[in-house]
Amino acid sequence: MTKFKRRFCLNQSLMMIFLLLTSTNLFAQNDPDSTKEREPYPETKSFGSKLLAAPQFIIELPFKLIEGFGNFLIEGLGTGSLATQENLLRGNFGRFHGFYPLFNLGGRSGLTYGLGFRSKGVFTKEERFKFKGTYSAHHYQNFKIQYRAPKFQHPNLAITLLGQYRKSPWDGFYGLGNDSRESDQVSYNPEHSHLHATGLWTVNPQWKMEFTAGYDAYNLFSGKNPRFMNDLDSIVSKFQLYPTDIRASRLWSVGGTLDYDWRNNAGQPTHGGQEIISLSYNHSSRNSDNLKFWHLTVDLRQYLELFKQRTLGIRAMFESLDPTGNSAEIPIYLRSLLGGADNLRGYRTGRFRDNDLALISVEYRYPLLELIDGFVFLDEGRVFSNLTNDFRWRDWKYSYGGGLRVWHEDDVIVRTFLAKSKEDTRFYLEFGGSF
Amino acid sequence: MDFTMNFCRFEDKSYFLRILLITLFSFLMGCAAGHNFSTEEPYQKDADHKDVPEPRPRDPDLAWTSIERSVFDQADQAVDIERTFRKLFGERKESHNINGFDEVPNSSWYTNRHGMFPMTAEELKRGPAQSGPDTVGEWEVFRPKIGGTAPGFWIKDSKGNQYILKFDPPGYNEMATGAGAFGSRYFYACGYNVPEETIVYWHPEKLKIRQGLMVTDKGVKREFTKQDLDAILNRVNKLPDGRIRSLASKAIAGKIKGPFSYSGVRKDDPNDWCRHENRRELRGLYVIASLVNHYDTKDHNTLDTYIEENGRHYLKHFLIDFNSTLGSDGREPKPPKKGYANQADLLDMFVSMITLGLKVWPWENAKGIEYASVGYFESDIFKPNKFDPILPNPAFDEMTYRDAFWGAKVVMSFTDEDLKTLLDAGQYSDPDAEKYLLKTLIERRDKIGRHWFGKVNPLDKFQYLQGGDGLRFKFEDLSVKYGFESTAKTKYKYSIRYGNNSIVRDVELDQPQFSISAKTVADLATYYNPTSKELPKEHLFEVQIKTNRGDSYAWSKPVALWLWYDPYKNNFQLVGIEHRSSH
Repeated sequence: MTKFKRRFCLNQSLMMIFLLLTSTNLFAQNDPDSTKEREPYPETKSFGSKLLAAPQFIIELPFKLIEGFGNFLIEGLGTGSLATQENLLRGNFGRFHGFYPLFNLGGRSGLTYGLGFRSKGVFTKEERFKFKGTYSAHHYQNFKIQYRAPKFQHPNLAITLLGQYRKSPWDGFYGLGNDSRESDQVSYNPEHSHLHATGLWTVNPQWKMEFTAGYDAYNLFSGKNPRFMNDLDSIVSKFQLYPTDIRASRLWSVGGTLDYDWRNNAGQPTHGGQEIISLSYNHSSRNSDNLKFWHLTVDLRQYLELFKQRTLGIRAMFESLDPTGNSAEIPIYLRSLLGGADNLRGYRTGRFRDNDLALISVEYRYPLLELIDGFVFLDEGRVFSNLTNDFRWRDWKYSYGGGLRVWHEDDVIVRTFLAKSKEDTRFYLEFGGSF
Repeated sequence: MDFTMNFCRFEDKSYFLRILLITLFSFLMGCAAGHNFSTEEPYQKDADHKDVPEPRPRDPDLAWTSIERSVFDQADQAVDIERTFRKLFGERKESHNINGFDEVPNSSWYTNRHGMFPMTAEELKRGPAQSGPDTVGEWEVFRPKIGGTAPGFWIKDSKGNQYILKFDPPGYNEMATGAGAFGSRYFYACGYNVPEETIVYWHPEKLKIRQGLMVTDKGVKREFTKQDLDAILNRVNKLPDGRIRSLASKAIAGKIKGPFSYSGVRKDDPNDWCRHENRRELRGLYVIASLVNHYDTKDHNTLDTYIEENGRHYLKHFLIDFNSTLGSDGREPKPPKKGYANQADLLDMFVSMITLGLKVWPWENAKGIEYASVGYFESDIFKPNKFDPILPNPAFDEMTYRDAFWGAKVVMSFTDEDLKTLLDAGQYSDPDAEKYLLKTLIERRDKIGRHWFGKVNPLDKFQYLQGGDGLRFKFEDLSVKYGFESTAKTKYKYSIRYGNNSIVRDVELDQPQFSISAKTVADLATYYNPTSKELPKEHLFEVQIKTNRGDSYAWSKPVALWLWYDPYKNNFQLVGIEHRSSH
């Protein structure tokens, strides 16, 4: 040990002894016995903060207004009487009953407004009764009344009675066939009333059978969209239609649907599939209509998990209208439609119209949040005058796009997406799912 | 010539922009309030126990609060100019309710416990609980819960005490109840107010339904029957001998006033002087909760109660519901995402969206559940700064490195034995499951310490002695203490300043202690010119200590010790400690 170090140690020791004996201040970082209290005092803001308050207020104002309005609705008005907000947000409308307002903004219908009513327990506790009436700026009318008994006489049998009236004065018609042109759009006004009774037999969680009987009344009038040709006679002449193509009709129908659903989850299927086959026979109730035809729909859906809930959904769909015996041609408003939110998404609703159609969709889905998925898709489809005789791989129309889907375990709640085709770019906000 | 050059440089737009930004920033921040150190001992208690009129109950809507937190609060933060500037320049607002020693004083929110004064094993195991419900007499069911996701009901024991009984989901015996018992004791030891929670074993025959007990079922009011009770009990886990294990959570005393908010103040409570997002104990809860993956730190898992104490009435603030700590999510094992992403994490969502889901998040590669009584709890992919609660939390969003350092100190105060003691309260029957929990907790704890101690200069437990031979300082280097850094590679240096005068400069040290000679101390005293009791910084002596971990150029930000000279007693007093950091 060097002389210096020895001296340093000695000094240190002496100092420690001295300190222990004489120290006036031994101060640990925190004193457990201290009870010194701090009086509450308001937080102060810097001069800079105060100066920024004005521009800050202006920037925040839109957010504050929306937030304040939401607070007013939820905290002030919305508590409890009609529905709990949690249930509404979760898409669980089970406890919802009473009147509620309806608003919608559609491309053709314009601003739609109306009133809905839901009730439970008409005769028994499980029953549902629903009424909906809407009217739009473009004179669209929709009145719907529905009664549903989910356990009718048997726990597996659900009965639905439905009556509906619709009128759509701005609907578009582009002509028949796969070669119809968008520029040929005209406006027509179909009116449709129907009464349907449906029985759904749930064999087991996978298999369901549905039987339907109904009466439908159709009329066709001149359209009201001033941007397009809307006189019915002119439309007949423009598209060289037969008078039977636009005639009114009254139809009885009976049919059945077989649904085999083996998806692991209806809201966000990652494997499994669903096969739906539907067949109905339609027969005119008036001899003058002379209309008899079969309506067959085959909808096949398959889901394949690529990795970590990234899923590929594939759908193949065929629809066929097949007149029987000496039936007249099927009117244009009853033909199969391609285009819109549920099939060929880059085209307008009902853009292509003919007896039969075929559609193939491929959709890649990936999770974004707990109940929100993103998706991109490619649709290809076309209409045929007769699927079996005229089928060809040429001239299939395609569209592609992507968006978001909000789901819960039983179903898809909302889809919003952008779809593009050669003709159009379309934005959708749709409640419920397609596949 | 010089003038011309400077003038020309000023023409450069980027240079001008920089000057403008610095000026603007200085203008914004320059007037912000600094620390006002008291020349007496530091505050150890907030005077928020004053007698106040009874506040109105709060009943915020859960769904709307979720939207507010996930959307509007985030939008507010994005357009907050001052906050953005502060974040850019690493000058975020520090907590407001800290004392001069960078610690949280006791208050109606928080009591310094294990982090400051180590509790005994017995105290840790007992936690806030006394004895739990009386298991001898009958239990009267007086408030049932119909529907809902998790089964439960309220009972009154033979002593008249009220408890809510919570259960394990079928197939996961001990998971939720064990987590609840552990969680309440852990958060109590950390210093928070929590309800008393005890594990009890009982036979269903013990229950008696209160006469005429009514219940609202799907909007319809009707009598609560034995069948209803059986329906609840059918949804819970039962032991082979027919007994039921449950967590009995005692009703919190006082008048319940609903949850507190993690932002703002309660306007009808005069004691509530500090905005909640500026409370360190709420900011630091981020770190404390991350240890046990208590992701469910939303407003609705808190409770204010209006109590009477020594004739004074005031609000006391509680954290509640710890069934979702460790690997439990209450009614099921915790999904791997929980604790690793907000329920509606807009940033993660954006990343997933633009990558078309090709970005795989770490939690997506989670391993399976090893023990049913544990659920999903891991330490491999856990990152202390990536812990995400269920909803964005305004207090967590404002957390600075100093707040995190405080939280990490509390977390690191739990030794392996302490954690084992806390886990024992969970009464796990499988020793391997408890060992797994302990191992995971230890690994998570060390990750937390290593991470957050690396963000500030982690010197703590300062002591100084003053005698005739000068001043002697001693402190602990927490990174060295807990083995995150080596003693051999660590060096320190200190400087002493008074205002703009540098009195001692960059004296290097090998050990976490140093002395200042009596002569230097005498010199220091001559600089001092006292003016008022509440002194601004420039009238205090500042001892700066920096740390180096082996790289001679990489000195840490300093810890500043503020000394006040008392000319009447002729001594120095430590009045402030400040861990400087850029965040």
